[in-house]
Amino acid sequence: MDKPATAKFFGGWSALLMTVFFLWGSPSFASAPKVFVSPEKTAVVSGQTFSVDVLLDTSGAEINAIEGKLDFPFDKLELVGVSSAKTFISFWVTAPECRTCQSGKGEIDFAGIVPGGYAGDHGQVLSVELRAKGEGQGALGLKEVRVLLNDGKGTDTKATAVAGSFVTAAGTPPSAVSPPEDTESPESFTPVIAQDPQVFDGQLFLVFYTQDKGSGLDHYDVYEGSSANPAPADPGWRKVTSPYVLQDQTRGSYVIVRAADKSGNQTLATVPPVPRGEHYATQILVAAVIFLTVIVIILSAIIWKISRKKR
Amino acid sequence: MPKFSVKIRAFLTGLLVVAALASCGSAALAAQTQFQLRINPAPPSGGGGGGGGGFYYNNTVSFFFIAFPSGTVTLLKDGQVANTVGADSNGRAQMTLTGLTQGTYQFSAYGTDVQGRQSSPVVLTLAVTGGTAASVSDIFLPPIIALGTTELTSGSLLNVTGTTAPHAFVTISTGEKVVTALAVADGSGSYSARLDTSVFPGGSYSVKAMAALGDNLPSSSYGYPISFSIGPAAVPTPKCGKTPTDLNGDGKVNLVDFSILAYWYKRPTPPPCFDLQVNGKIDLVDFSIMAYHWTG
Repeated sequence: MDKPATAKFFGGWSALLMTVFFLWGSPSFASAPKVFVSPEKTAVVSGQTFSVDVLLDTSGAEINAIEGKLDFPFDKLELVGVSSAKTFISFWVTAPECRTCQSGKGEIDFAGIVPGGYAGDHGQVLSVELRAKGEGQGALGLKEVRVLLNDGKGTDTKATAVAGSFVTAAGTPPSAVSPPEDTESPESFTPVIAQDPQVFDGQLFLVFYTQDKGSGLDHYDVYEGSSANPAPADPGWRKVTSPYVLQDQTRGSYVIVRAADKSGNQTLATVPPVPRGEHYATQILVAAVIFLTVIVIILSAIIWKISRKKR
Repeated sequence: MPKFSVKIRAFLTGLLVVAALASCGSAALAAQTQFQLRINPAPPSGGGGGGGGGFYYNNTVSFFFIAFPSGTVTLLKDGQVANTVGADSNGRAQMTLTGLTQGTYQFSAYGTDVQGRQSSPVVLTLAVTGGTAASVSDIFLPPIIALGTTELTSGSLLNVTGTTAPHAFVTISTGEKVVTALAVADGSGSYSARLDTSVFPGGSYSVKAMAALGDNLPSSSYGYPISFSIGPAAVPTPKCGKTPTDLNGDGKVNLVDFSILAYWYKRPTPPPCFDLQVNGKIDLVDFSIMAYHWTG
C-alpha cells in the first residue's frame, strides 16, 4: 500500500537552480540500476576534444557502492583528463584513472562509496575528456560494473551497463571552450594520524580527504619536517596518496598536507608534532611503572623468603 | 518497501515546482512525510563571495531537525562530519553551514538520544548552482529502535523500545511478514511496544520504525531495520571494535576505518575481523557494508 506524502516549500526569489533529493527507507526498486555513457553517441572531427560522462540511474534503488571500468580505443582517442569534481561519490576506493594507458590500453577503472546512500536518475560518477585521433569510429564501453545496495549487506543490484560510441570525421577542430574560472581552494580538511597493529606493520599512518567542487581535486602533497611553514617549493614536499605511512614515526615533525585542485588552488592542513616533553613524560611514566613493578616483585620475594626462614 | 524522494526546482520567478514521489510499505498509521525548503535571496556580494565568472561561493544552507529530546544531531557533508549540535527538550535542533561552493553535496544526518543510542541517517543530496541562502526544515530523524532481546523463542513477544520526538506516533513493523504495532512516545520521547511473533517460523527477521507528529504534520521515514531471530541466532561476525565496521575500535566508522579497509583491499588473507562479508577477501561489498554503518 502506498503511503501518501506531501511536501511544503516556501520560495523566495533567487536566480538559482537547486535540486534536493531526500532518501529514506529501505531499498526498493522496480528495475536494475543502469550505468551509462552520456552522450550515448558523439560525432567529432579529428583533433577535437570532447567530454563524456559516466552516469548512474539507480532506478529508484538506494545504493552506496559502485565499481567498473570504462574502455576506450587507445589508437583512436587520446585521454586528456579524468574528472570527479561533480561526482556523487564521497570516497574513492579506486580513484578513476587510466592505469593501463602506459601500456597502450585505454581503460579507466573506478570504485567508490557513498556513506548514507544515493538514489537518482542522473548521478555523475566521473567525467572523461578525450581527443579524437584520425578518422573512424569506436565504442566507449563499460565493463565489470557492479552497483551495490545500501542495505548493510552489499547486495548486488545486477546493474546494466550501456556503452557509448563516437564517430570521428576529417575536418578542422573547433576552438576549445575555456572552462569556468575556479579561484576557490579545495575544501578545508583535517588529516588524522592513526595506528593499527594490522596495517602497515603497526606503523603510524596519515589519512586525509577533501573535495573541490570547482575544477576538481588534482593531487595531495605531504611535508614532514621541522618547519611549520615550509616554502611551496621546499624539496620536502612529496606527492602522495592517502593512507600515507609517516616517515618520522617519532611524531617529532610537522606533518602538513597540501591539497591542490586542477586550477592550482591549494589548501593546507597541518598536524603539529607531539611536544618532546610529552614524549619524555610518557617514556618516564612507562619506565617508572616498570621500575616500581620490579621493586614490588623483589620486595615480595624478600619478604616471602624472610617469612619462610622465621618458620 | 518504503521509499520516498522529492525533487525541488526553483526558477527565476521564485516559483517552486515540486514533484514528490512516494511509495511505502504497509503502514497502519497514515502519517505524512513533510518538510520545508526555504530559499532566500543571495546575500550581497563581497566578503569572499562570488565566483569570478564561473563558480559561486559562499552559499549558506540551514538545517532544522526534529530529533531526540536533549540528544545530539550530527551532520555529515560528503561523508565527513560537518557539525554536531545539541537538541532542545523538544528534540528540535538546527545548524547552518556557510561558505559552500557551487556544486553537489551529499548531506546525511543522524541523531543520538540521551542514552547515546544512534538513529539511522536521513540523506539529502543538494545541488546548488547559484549563490544562495537556503534552509531545509522539518528533517525528521527516524526513531531510535532497540530490542529487549534479539533471540526469541517461537511465539514469544518482541519487546521494542526506543526514542523519537516527544508525543510522536510510532509505527513499528517487520519487513518479512507484515506485523505492525503502534506506540505513542511520552514527553521525553520514549516509546515501547510489543510485537506478536507467533506467525514467524524459526529464522532471522528484522524490525523497523517510523514516527509522525500527527495528521498533516511532519513524519520520518522508516529507519534501518534491526535483526532478530526466532530460534538460535546466526554465528556473529568477528569484530575488532564495538561494531564489526568499527575496525580501529574508536567507536566511530569514518575515514580511518575506510583507510584500514583500503589497505587490505584485494590483498590476500585479510584479518578476519576486517572481512565484513566473511568471504576471505576485502572487496567492494565490504566497503558497502562499511558505508551503511558510516558515522563520520
